[in-house]
Amino acid sequence: MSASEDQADIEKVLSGDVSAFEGIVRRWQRPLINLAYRFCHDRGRAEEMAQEAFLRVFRKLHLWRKDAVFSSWLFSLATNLYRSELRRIPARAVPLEDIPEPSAPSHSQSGLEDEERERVVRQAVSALPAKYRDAVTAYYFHGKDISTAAHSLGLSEGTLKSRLFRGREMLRTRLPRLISQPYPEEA
Amino acid sequence: MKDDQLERLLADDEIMPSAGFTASVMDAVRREAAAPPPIAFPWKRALPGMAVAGLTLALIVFVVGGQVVRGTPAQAPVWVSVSALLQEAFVNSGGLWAIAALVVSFLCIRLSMTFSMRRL
Repeated sequence: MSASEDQADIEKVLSGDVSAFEGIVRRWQRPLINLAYRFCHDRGRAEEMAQEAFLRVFRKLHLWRKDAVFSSWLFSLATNLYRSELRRIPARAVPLEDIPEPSAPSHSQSGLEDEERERVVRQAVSALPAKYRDAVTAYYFHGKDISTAAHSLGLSEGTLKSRLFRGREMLRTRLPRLISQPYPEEA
Repeated sequence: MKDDQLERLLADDEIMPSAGFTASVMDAVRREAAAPPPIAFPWKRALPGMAVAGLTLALIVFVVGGQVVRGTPAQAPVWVSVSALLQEAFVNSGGLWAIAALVVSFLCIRLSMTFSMRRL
């Protein structure tokens, strides 16, 4: 994603050319929708939340400082919105202790086992307490970049690391059998 | 638990935007851009009235308070005369009605929030 393209489109929008905002939407729709999906695990709701995020970006575009990185500002705004939305209407989550572990994998059904594994892990992340869930979600979404993830959540890096550690420990404790099973290709 | 396995499971979670997403966002953005700006609070019109109301209230408190203080015994402690002054000013200025209106407003807001949350 080109920072110069973002800057050019932003300047056009701020000077009155609303259609220039489409460039920003096209470049950032996939990351924003995927970030929302990581929070709510519902495609329809993820797109609704991402649309609201873009609307807020449009309303507050005049507040973006040119010396700041646009992507950081964008993700920070979107993350705050998604967290608020999930506080308002929580995602349907099964309590962590009730999430069943999948059966042992077999080579004949490796595709199904992988899907089930991923589904269980998503459920387990959704079931974490909000502050650990947000930390885990943001960290992995931003490609394990602590600094970017911390900035998007409005936390210090130390606080994020601490919450990340705690969240992963909870996942390890709840899903030891799942996580200790090798992928079929590694067996 | 092996870290790389957890990392792989947590990192892989991608979806593609639906075909009409951009168009839907731009429709919403154009509606937002076409909407009239919010009406600013008319401070220039409101400030003189607020100043007059404040002065009137202060005058009421001063006049009523003076009457109350003259009516209380000389040996009464300060807090008795002050609380009598406040009570008199409160009743005379329609404070009871104001409180009743606030309670009714609060109950209406709570009820409507309860009903709207149930619908969700």
